[in-house]
Amino acid sequence: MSRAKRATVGELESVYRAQFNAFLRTGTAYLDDVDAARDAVQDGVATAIRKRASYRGEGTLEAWLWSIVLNAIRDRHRERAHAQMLAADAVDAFAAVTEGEPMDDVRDAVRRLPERQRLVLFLRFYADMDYGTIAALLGISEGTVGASLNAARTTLRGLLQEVGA
Amino acid sequence: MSERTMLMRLVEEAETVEPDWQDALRRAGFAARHRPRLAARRVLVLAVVLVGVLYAVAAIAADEPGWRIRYWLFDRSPETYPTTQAATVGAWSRAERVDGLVSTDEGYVPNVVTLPVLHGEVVGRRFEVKAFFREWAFGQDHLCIGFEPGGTPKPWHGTNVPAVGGSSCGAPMHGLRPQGESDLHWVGATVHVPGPIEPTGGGTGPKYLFGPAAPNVRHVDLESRDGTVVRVATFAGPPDLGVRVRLWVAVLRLDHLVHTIVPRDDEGEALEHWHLPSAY
Repeated sequence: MSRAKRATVGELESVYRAQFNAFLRTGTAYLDDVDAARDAVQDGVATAIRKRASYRGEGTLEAWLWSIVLNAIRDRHRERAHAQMLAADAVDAFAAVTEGEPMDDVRDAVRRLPERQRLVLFLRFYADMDYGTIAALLGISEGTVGASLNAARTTLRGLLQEVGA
Repeated sequence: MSERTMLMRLVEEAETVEPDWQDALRRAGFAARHRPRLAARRVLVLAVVLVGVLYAVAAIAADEPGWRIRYWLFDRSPETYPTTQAATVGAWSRAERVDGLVSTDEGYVPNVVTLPVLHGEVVGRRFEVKAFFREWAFGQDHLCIGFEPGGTPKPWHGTNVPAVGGSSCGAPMHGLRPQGESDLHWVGATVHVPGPIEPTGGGTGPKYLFGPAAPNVRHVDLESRDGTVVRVATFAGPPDLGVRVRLWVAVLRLDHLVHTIVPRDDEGEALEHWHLPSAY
């Protein structure tokens, strides 16, 4: 990964294209909705383009863009959670429609994980990040990353055993 | 089913979505086009404008010498030549011109089979001079002086062709035919400029003044209105012409105008002050 003192639009485009699938997989898993994930990723990248002058070369451009996109995804999640609280009936209807599909158990199992564990899990599996990168991105130690990932996998396995997936 | 497989199946829809950079740019408030393309378009527009300006300048410069870039940017003004000049010359020779006749581009075949040629140098510039008599109308022969700057005639001049870079015949001069002229001089004078001449009279130059001189003329003074005098020494003409004549060659800046020619004898006495009807 190369270091750059200032991010140009062209450099951002390169990182965007290289990381787009990882962005979208993480967003889709986090938001449970590919359209919402795409919207959040695009908004996050747009924010990065506008604020590119604030990138000072401290850390890689990839990590800088990831932090912005991840914030956009989390913001979108909060917005959706708030909206779902206001429209609980709609959520119930959605649950009713999707009930019984094989992957729903897995989805529910993942959804029940604490947020940190989910993020660590997603960044590890969907973005193929190492512990150090995840730690820097989330502002936690590498030990915490390892512990969170281990806990998430243990919990996930237990939950999946419970639901028989 | 492994953990990885399960997790990847959760997001398999995401694999079908393609990145859309233009959409990200639009959301960021950028124009629809990528910035580099915008920059390329600006460069193209600038290039078109630049070509237009250069075309206009070139068009103006074609008529206005003051616009000539070489005068703006480079000191290409003609060099100044010494005010005292004496040609260093070799011997007259007919050997160079005896190989036959060559037609000119216009198809003229010279009626002079051999003619004497002399190579020389003045202020570092080589030249070639020819001197011969040519039959003129009414049975009179005129002395012709041919002059070639650089010392190498153009190919089409041929071996025996008296046509040269500059030439003149029949100068009304004391001691030479044609006799009977009412206004005889002690020298003849011809100007030759091998390079281009600007409309203002400027140019790369230099210009050459040359001509015959009567046998008693040892120097020729070329006087300008500003008091500048260029003195050149004469040298002997071909010994076998059948007439005694001397020649002179001077090199001047193109903008150095000569208004009066003063031939002087070996005592330095002025034989005449020939005020030229138009400056050379």
